[in-house]
Amino acid sequence: MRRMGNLRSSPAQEASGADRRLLERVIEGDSAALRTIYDRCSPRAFGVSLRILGARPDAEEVLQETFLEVWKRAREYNPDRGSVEGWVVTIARSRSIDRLRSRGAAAQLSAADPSSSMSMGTPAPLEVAERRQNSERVAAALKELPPEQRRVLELAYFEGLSQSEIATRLGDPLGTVKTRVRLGMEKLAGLLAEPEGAR
Amino acid sequence: MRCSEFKEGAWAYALGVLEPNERAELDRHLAEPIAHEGCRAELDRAFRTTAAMGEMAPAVQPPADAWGKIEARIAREGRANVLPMRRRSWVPFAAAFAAAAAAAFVFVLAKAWTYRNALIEKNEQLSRLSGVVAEREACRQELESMRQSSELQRAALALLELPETRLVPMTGRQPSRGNALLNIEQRKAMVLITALAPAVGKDYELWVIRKGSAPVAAGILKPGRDGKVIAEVKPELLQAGRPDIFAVTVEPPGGSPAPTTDPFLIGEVNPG
Repeated sequence: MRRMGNLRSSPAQEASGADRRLLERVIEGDSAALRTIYDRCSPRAFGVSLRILGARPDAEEVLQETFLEVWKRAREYNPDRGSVEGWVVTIARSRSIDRLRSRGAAAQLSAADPSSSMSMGTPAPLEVAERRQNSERVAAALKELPPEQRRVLELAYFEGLSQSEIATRLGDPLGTVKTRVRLGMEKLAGLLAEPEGAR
Repeated sequence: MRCSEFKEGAWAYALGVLEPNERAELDRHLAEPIAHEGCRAELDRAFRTTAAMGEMAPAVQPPADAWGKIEARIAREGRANVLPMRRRSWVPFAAAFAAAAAAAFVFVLAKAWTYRNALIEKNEQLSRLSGVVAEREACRQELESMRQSSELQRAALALLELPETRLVPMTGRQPSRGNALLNIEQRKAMVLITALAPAVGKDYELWVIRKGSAPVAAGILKPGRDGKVIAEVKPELLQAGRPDIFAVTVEPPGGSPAPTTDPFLIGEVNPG
């Protein structure tokens, strides 16, 4: 598995050179570099945690745990598996699901209210525009999935349910859920891999 | 387990929806010392797709004090991946004393040399004074350019915040890329471009194009040292309604009234 140690020849990496340099600085113990990653990635990571946990105090705790983990595990980042932001968000999602399971409170799921957010710092418009472009791209790709595939992916991603749990929740056979997960993910990967404007 | 079965299961693995025993089975297969048929690549692809799914949730700014709490925890809990500081080597007292004496001797010699050179330096300073004035002016211009850039950034963020602002991806010659922000209701448009090579002996020119009409020059783009540029399109260029294309070409210094080269960045505005 490719790690931070040999990034140069990575064929599939999505992370920019700047991202890699930042993580290298984090590995060296530079907290200013972590702050830069935080400024860039925390809104999405916090958004995912808030969507999963529903409660701001819990999402704030998870945000701390997430960046503490980035600080400790920067060496483990694998650019073949996505951008730095994707990695940070994946950590935030995992910690959120852990917390959700530990409190056994699926009932506490509720839509987060982004309007109640507080602003800190001014992100660079180029990055904001690119983030928005990515969001629109993923949203457009998800819209192209059949609703039943989209539903299982959302249950898996935001509620952390296993395929068996999804089958129970939806009352569908396990085999059907497994097929939907695979087909949905494959289609999503294909749509996201298409060049801009190909759809 | 065959590689084909692994690749089918890789999606559920990356999404985290497998039962522990299923996951362990896939782990075992991946660890097998066999000629895999793209198992790892498929798993990486599945992980990249899962990572992108985070975009389904809206980005939310954390509270202002969140970073401070993280910093405090880092200070409190430390980290595992930082190599310990190399232990300071022990220097015997005698050796340290000899080193200090040698350093003092060198210091005295250097001081005498510096004093001699100071007179020469004075003369050189006088001739440098004129250069300082020019440097000061260059610095002032740099600061002015930063101020303008900052104002443009604020304007771009404000435009992005408007719900009716459309994002038009601009693609073409790698690695340059960008976005045009278009709000036709308010007759506002800006372009944000990154990874532009320095313009030496040429200029980057922006064009607003409507199908069936000649391209309209919308200004020269001056990338900063970081290769980024933010530019505002004059509102009067949007009076005729929605443009069909934003394009950037390379032109002779000062720009051209009509494009003289093929566009290397193009953003097509989708109708509707």
